[in-house]
Amino acid sequence: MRDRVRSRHLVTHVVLMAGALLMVSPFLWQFLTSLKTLGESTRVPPTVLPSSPEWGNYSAFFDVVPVGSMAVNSVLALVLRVAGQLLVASLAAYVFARLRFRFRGPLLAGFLVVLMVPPQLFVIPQYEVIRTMGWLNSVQALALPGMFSAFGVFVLYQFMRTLPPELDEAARMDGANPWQIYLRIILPLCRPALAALTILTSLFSWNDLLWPLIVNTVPDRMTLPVGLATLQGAQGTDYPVLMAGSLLTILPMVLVFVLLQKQFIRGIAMSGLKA
Amino acid sequence: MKSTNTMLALAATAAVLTLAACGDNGASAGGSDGGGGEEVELTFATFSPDQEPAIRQILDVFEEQNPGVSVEIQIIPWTDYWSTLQTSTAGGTGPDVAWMLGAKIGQYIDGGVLLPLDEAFEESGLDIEKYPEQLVDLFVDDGTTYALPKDFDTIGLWYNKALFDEAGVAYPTPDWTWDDVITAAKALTKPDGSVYGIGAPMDPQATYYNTIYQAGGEVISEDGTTSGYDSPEAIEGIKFWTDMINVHHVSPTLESFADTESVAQFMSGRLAMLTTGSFYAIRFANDEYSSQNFDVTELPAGAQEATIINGIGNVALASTEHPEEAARLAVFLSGEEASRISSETGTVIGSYEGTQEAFVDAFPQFNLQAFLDQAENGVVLPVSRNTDAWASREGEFLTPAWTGEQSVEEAAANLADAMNEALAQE
Amino acid sequence: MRPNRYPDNAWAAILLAVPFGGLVIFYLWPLLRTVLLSFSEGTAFTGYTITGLGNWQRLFENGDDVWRALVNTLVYAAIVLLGVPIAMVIAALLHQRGLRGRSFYRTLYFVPVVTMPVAVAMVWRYIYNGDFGLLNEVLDAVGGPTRAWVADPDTALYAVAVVGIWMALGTNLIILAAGLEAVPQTLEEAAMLDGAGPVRRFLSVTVPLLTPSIFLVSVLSVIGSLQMFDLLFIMLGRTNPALADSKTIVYLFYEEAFVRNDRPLGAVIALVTLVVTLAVTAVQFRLQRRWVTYA
Repeated sequence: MRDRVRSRHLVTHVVLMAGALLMVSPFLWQFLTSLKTLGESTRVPPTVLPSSPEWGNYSAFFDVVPVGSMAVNSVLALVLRVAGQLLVASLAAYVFARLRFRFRGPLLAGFLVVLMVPPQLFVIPQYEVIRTMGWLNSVQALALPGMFSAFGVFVLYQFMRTLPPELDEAARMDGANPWQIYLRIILPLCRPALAALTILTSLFSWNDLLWPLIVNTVPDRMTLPVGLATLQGAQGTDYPVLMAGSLLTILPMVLVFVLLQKQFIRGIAMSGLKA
Repeated sequence: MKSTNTMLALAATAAVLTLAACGDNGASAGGSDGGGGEEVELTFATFSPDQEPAIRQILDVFEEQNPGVSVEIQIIPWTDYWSTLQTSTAGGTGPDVAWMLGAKIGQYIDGGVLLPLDEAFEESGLDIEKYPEQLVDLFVDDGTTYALPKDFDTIGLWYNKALFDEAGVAYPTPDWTWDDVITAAKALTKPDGSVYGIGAPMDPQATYYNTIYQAGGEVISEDGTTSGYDSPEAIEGIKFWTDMINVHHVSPTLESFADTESVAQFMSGRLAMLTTGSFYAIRFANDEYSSQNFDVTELPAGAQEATIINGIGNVALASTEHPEEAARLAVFLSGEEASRISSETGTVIGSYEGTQEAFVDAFPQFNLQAFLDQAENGVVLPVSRNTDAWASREGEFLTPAWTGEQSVEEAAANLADAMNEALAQE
Repeated sequence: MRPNRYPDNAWAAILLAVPFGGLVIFYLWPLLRTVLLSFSEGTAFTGYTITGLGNWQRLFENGDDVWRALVNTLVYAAIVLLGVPIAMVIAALLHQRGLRGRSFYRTLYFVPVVTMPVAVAMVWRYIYNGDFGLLNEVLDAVGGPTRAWVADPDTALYAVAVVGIWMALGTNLIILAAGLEAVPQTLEEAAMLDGAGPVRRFLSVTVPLLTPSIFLVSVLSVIGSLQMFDLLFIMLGRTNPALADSKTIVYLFYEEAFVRNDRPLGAVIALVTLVVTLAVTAVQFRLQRRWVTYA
């Protein structure tokens, strides 16, 4: 029995490893490119290994881009946006998935329609709203629209619908009101979905480019992707420095991911779910 | 108490909605004279991180000469520069001073969002005659100057000496004609496809605009109202390039350039010649292979001499809270001092006469004087009020000519129709 | 006492106040502005005034571009949807009990999601390069057909779609993994005691319980694909012979609204995108009744 499990896992490992290699090989290429000279990086046929590693590309990134202040802005915007999105989306999702009220259908449709509009379209009117509020060049300007994104509502709504209805019914018998049910029963059960949403929202926030550019015009309020994007010039791109910068920039996101994985795993121990 | 809060919230929401509905421009343009020893802070938007060190140097001089004024640089990525500038400017929250191109300025002038610079220019004591005339005109509308060119670039014929030596072909000279280019390209092309004589990418500024004017044609009529693409001269100018691919087989195909941009192919030793701008000098100089093997000369001549000249201007935006200082800064950034500093760093050719030698000296391995010598034949990059409305369609219509699916005559006629339609809407 | 059909009206209103307020201010209001814009004329600087149906007329009179882009977009969305079953297989493999290195694998599969599109595009362009590309070298070795994959009108859209699948895999995996964690272990164990093999157990026990998550990633995948723009923009460049045959609808929107400064026509195109997305999503929602099971 044990051997069978092990040999089955061996096949799994081979398949997963092959897939993983496909997934990360561009990432390795990025690393190699980050150590090349500009000439080497665009040479055709491509040079695989840099003749001598140019670690200077990494320090060049710090010279060209004010990494410190940008990273602070990016982190603040991320924390605010993720917190807001988790709260807003879980509330809305809970109401739509678990409560019975008038106009549920049309209101839900209203939320979902927003998902379907090309996001580029919202940028200018949203900018006008933020301007009217007097919040240009601020952290909340970076985070606000993303907090209300319909994406999270849909993800959590879909997840909450899979929870058995008996949960709420039992709690109501015990005299709990919807707010208490949301807080004490539904939310804890959604941990894997909340972790997934946190990862994805962090990612959206961290990589957002167009929006920060438009609402924050003051240099010391800029975010990291803006700094990275400046490396794509009108006359060609400095690929090695761009790659170096991009590698450094994704590290925090990989960290977020590694940490939140625990939430997935903890989900296994979840009790209270009946078929 | 509770109801007051609700009322406030409602009122605030209503205010947000109505104000946003107006989409007014003047909301933040509070009046201010900026005088009285007050600290004045200006924001200056640019799209080139390469030039930031030079710009910082220029701004230091400006701040020294204008006590109490400090300037912050805002670098906006090139790909988003124009949409960001347009949105923030239309919203009245844009930078105080910004880089501007001739192709874009028409919209800004029509929108009334630029400050006239005539007064500030007069005070500066600069001489308008010292700028390339074609470029100055680009930023003047109805006798009012909205920007001055800070630099300029022209197109030259870059070549790879090593490949010429290998094929035993003499280096290009300023008196070359189109036929000389074709003959040399044939001799330089290797049958195994490892080296092509010349690169013929579909790049208006670097390739076919130049030859259209050299053939005696024009891209747009002088008054900016009709397309010149359907003239026999324009067709001849385009054919020069498409023939390189489809008739002489001395250039890689358009597909190949889509996969690997022409400059990268040139820097990899796959092309013996490439016509492109002075703006690549710094990149070639920083690459060992290119620095050792490349040189440049004037463009070959067709029926006449011509090279496309283009330049960046500095505008002051009307939404600024400090119009006087902003205008002064915009002029200063295009002035003699700024021009000298720009040239010395070798990134660009400063626009002010007498400051340009520094650019030539910056990279002695290349004959950069060729770019300066050509300036007198410079034809300014063609523009209209809304240049992008038609310029963005050129690629689409000329592609079949480049791939050989359509004759140049046919493609050019279709492009001319589309362009005239776009121009009629301006 | 007659049971109230809507017992939670008051609570719903209270709990939805904040989410709905934000939705109205940041999304529905901008959407309304867009609708008005589509009936307007003007420029960003002079402001827009409502003039009537002119922009919509232009769409229907010479809208060949739009219809072609629409077809391209739908084709692209259909191909990228194939990524969902791939993500399911990987999610299932990762979910096996006792598998070592699970978080290691997950991290590796997640990496493409965080990587910058520009960086990714550069690598894929090398792979697809017609003159020196890796793909061609492999195909050449096995005697397959070689070509300039992203510069050839016949293949460019498909080549980009493969990258689309690759980029979306991590996101799909995260959502499916979250869904899998919620599947009660007891059920699988019961099936195991019944002697069901791993594949059968997965298909007959896990998949049915996972259908809400599968539905979710399918809908999100299609919506995301219908809005595809930056990948195409970066991978094809501006003077690509395949561009005319590969443009998506949001690419057209970008060209009109941001390059040609014709925001009103851009608004029309964006609304067409919205309508198409609505229609496709409505079909998906209708079909879900046949295969999606909720608790």
